[in-house]
Amino acid sequence: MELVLPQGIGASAFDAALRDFRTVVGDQWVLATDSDRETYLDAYALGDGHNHAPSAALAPASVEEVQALLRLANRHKVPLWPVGRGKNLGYGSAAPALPGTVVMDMSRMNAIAVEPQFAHALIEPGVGFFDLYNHLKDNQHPLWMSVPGNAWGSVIGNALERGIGYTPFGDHTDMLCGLEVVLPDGEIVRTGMGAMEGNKAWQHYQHGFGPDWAQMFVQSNLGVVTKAGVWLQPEPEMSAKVTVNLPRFEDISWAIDVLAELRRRDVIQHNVVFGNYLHDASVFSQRSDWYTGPGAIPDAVSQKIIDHYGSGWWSFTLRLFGYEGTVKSHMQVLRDMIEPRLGKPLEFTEWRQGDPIEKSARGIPSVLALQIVNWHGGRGGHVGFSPVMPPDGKLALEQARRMKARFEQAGLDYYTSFTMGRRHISNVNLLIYDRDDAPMVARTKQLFSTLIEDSAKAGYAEYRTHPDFMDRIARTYDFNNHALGRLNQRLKTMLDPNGILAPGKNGIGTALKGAAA
Amino acid sequence: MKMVMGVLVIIGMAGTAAAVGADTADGQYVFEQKCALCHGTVGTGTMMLARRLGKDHALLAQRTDLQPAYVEAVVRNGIGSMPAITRVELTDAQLAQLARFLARNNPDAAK
Repeated sequence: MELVLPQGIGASAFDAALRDFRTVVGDQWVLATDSDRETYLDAYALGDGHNHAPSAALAPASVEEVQALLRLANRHKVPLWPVGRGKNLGYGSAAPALPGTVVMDMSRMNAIAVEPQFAHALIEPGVGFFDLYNHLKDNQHPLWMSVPGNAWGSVIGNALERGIGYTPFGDHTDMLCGLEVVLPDGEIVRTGMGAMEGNKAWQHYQHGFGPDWAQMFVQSNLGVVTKAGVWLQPEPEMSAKVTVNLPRFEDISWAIDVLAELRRRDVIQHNVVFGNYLHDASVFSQRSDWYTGPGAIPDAVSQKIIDHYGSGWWSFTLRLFGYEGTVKSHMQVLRDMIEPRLGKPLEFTEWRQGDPIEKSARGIPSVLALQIVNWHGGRGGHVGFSPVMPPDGKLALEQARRMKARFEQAGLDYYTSFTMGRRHISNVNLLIYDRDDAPMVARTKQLFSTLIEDSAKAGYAEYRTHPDFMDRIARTYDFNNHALGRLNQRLKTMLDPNGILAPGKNGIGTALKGAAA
Repeated sequence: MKMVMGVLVIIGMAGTAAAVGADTADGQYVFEQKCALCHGTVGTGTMMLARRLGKDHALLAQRTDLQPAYVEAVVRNGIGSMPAITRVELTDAQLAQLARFLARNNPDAAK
């Protein structure tokens, strides 16, 4: 793969930077061969991914090495793109926004310290969901964790991207308590109570005294998080779970209203994937098993898939956790609220301490969901388009109709979830494609652009996106002449005057160039 | 029917033989630590291989036709929907151990 150098850096200057980086992390952990660069490309890129090609990768093993690398990056004006484990699949993987940026791979920093009495852990960014799960299991800590759909990645990385899971601890950013951060100039700060030397409550109270800057390091390029406290869930006395399948497309309207009410009243205490039939079909089959004709899958074929799996047009799983009395009473609330509309009883799977874990509602790491990229066969990929909207059934039905029509115009199969947060819906639409099918990739890009425009007109914006679209999404946040973007830029200029930390991340440092500001 | 996903895809359930020789034990450990999450008994990699090559060739740890060089090429370049694996996630030394382990049942494998 052709080497793409950082903007404004010549080959000899780049080599000098790599030589200095090697003095910090050692030869083995400066990865700069053609093969190395290829391994850090976006695995799900829309095309070959070379528009986000890294020039090299560095793998520090300690906070001191991170500090030293940032100072050298400033000296050499070479930008760094930190990643936890580089598994942000669908949102760019490990690849940087700007080509030529050097990836800083934090995988080697993987320490875990659990405080079982207080149900929290202090971890480093290289800790993956499997690592933490196995650590809790191996040490027989009666603590549960929340995991996202793709659990290959970093616990901290996922939380810093506002990833979610599906237990009461599933708002992963909100479960962070206390960050250790290296600023772009190499200085270390700790947020919350950790700002006091020797404080005993760093992982107990998130905010500290005065402004709480933890959010400044979420989806940002203003610091490198090197440690974070993570709150864990004490093993409950009981859990129960039930999957509900809704046969009709229009069922989304009443169901979203019911689920939203149950979420506002805290009966349902977790994010709910309210997904369409393709969630199951794309894991357990391939498109060609059902349809080989032109355009998106016709409704009649969709119905065949639904009938085969018994999945309904929509399905969702509800989970309850706690003392048995609480769980039992909430099971009854769910029955009272849902069964009359469903027309049949809910069939719960109950778990009590000592039962097999597969009966429980806990988060268990898995990567089986990655199977969906094999929908078309070939080298598969997906990008997520995820606008945030109010949890309202009528709006959700309108959105689903609008989006389905757009997917069909583009000849792509409509894969969606109206994922129910505490007070919002993240309408996660996955555009699934064969990377080597150039016309399909082109249609995907066009569809993504159309969806950005549609959503902005409807008053919705994305919460997270792929580097291909970070600038465009950032520009949709345009209140008062892009005041938020200008604030971000002012902070960026102040904290990172050389622009060496993740330039272009979420449009910071790039989105306003040529725009209104 | 809503599928119960992923319950068995926990490290350690790798579909590997119960015992291997000392020369491939390290490679088995690497496989279980780094690969089994996809290439275990119920893994996404196993499902993809079953579609592409048939169920008899789906479990990597039981294959008899793998060459070390092929394993190394697939790991570093990716294949199909499998991403390429970096030298941070799997060092060259670990990859060599892994390749020896996965090729152990191939009588024609270059040693």
